[in-house]
Amino acid sequence: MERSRAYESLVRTHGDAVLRFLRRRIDPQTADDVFSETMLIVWRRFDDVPEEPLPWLYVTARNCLRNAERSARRQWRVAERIITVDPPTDNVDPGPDEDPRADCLRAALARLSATDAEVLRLWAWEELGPPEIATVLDITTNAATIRLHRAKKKLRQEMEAPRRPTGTTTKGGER
Amino acid sequence: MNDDDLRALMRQADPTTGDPRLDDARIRRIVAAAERDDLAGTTASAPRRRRRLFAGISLGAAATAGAAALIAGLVATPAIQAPGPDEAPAACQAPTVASLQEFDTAYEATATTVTGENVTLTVTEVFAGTPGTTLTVEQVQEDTGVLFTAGQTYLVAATDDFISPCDSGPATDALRQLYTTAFGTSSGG
Repeated sequence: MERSRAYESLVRTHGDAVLRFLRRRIDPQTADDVFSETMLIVWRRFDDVPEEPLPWLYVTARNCLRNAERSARRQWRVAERIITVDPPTDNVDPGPDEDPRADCLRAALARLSATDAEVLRLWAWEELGPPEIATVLDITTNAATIRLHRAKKKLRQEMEAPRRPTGTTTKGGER
Repeated sequence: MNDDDLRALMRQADPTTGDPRLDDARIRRIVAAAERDDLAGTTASAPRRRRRLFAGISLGAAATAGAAALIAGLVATPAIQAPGPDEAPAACQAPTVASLQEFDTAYEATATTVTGENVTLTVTEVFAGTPGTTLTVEQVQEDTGVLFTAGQTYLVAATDDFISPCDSGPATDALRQLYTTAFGTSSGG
């Protein structure tokens, strides 16, 4: 019973964040399926859940998502629903109060590399700092800090020059 | 556009904006599905370090059938790679020529003043980039404290306003050799 109560507490506290993590990266129906699978695995590995569970939960969800992608290659039904590992940004309904630059940002984000876009999503949407991003991406905190810094810079550059072809954003002198 | 503006703008592009929160009925279904799961607790069959999860709650995971453990191991494979804090990669790896070459600016400087989070660096040698002669930078946080102490000399690797805490450090002969190899001969600041 204690295990169940602790698990329920975890789901209540962090389940919504995990579901959103998935919905940001795949269509809602598949996200719901993967979420159920993720939470079942969390239950089975409950003793491994660390004190700060969110990065661990995101890694688990991410791994389940990858499994779903692998399955999608074999299952037409799922393949129809899975859009891409990138978020379905074109499905976003702009609200009436949305900043007019938001469209520009979505377009700029779509032009970034998968790595840059993902580190920005983790930073802005999952609200993670470099140490947590490092855990999710299985890299060092220093590498996460550098990737995040560069991704923000590239996003700004893409927003300022939205029609600039990919590959011309590196300034002279940069390595 | 500063970082806060960028983050705020990105949040407006969040595809889950407006999605309802995970509701109570769904939470109960998730918990019920977990309780019905035959494979629950199988990972506790192997000795492992127990981590405290929630204050006041003791986690007593019961071990179940050994045969189920094998299945659980297979089913739970996606989460096996999930690292907790103890398994997280080290915050810093020792700098290398390759890691230093990631940065477009490298220099040796003395921390002339340290006031709160602000550090004034007087550049004495430049290995790469154009850092100028005097910079005011933010204090760099390291795992063991802060990087800059007034009066000390440092080798600094940076890109724009980001100073790498792992590739920068006190100006030792070994680190200087690494900077020289990575960037070539330095010039006076």
